[in-house]
Amino acid sequence: MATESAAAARALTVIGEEDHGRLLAALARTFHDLDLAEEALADAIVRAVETWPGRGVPANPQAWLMTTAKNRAIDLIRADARRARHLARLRIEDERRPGDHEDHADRLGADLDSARIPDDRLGLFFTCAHPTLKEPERIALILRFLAGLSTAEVAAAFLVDTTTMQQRIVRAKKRITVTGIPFGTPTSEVLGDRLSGVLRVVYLIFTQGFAATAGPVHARADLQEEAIRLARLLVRLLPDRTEPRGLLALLLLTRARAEARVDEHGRPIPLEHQDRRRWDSRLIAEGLGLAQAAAGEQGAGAYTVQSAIAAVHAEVRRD
Amino acid sequence: MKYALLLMGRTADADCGEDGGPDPSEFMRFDEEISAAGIVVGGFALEGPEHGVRVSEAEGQALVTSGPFAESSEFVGGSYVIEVPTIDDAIGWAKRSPGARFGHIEIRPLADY
Repeated sequence: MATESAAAARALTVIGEEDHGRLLAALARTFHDLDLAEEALADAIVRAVETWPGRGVPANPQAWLMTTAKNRAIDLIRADARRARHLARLRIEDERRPGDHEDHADRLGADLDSARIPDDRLGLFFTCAHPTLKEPERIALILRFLAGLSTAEVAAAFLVDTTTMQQRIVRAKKRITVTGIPFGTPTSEVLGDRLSGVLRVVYLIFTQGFAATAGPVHARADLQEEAIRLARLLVRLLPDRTEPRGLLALLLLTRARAEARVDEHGRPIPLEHQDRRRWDSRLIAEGLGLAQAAAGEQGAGAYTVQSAIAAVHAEVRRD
Repeated sequence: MKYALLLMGRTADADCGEDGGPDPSEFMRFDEEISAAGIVVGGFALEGPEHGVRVSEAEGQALVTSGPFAESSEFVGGSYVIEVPTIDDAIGWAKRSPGARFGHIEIRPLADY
């Protein structure tokens, strides 16, 4: 038994956090249902755990998971008339033929080229940060589905117990489905209107702070690190936009000074008294580079400005 | 997806057509616009709350009262039921209605029962 689960665990390590996020985002976008995507992907992973140790890890494990999850999603839609009707109501395809729900799901599934998993995570960001969701819901959804934290870790971040967070996330997913919050890559108009809102959620995650030494049973994830990773992801997903780089610069420059900011008793130290030798020079260097490049660009906005201010603080000469 | 756009008025506000109230021609213009878009699948316009009749029950007895209802600060003026792809489309239409300026518009997805 022990060898089997060890083999299964090894098999699953080929699927990294990135892959999981991309699979989830692609499924959510295809079926316009985050809850369905999560369930189908979880079931596919269970199948992988059951079959890979015996049969060997497939040559393309991501494609295997995608195909399995997609088929599972279609089965789930067929088995649930309500889900089928919802899919039909969304009028995702150009024509809508009444009574065609099952073929509809199949056709959508066929569009998912399992050899090449698209990166739909930008769309998932915008879905999870939609303005009709409440702010705590947006934070929880992005931590759970884009940062890949477990429900327990998200619960710890909010200082609530896991069951409470589970319920909140279930309600948030339900709100997305019932209200008709869109999935899919945002148009440039939507990007213009709502990118700052998306960046704000990442910023709020950052300001929630460090891992707490006290708290619920599971270790509290380092939310600043998660926020930085999310900011890096947004930079990669939107290479032509300035503000994501402005935000990343701001977070890096702020994080760089974290060690020097409090004394051994946890009391804050003013900037002019901070020991700059305790600043992280790599983060400062990266942050400065990003801030300086962003400052000169047309797309500069609020976060770019804030990063420029942080850059000034970080450039203060050593004594 | 089908959404109901409920036009909610404030009881304290001036009536449509009166001084300080909404101009009926604005509502007609909006009605033309939204109808031309081909998305309206239902809806209704209501006579004012002063013509409303409330039916409820108190201590096992039916209670029938006529408007206006002083204790209510708002009332339903009318609705459009529209079929659009996402909530953002519904919000876009609601913003364009004069009802959003006088009182508010509540958007509710139609339930699937």
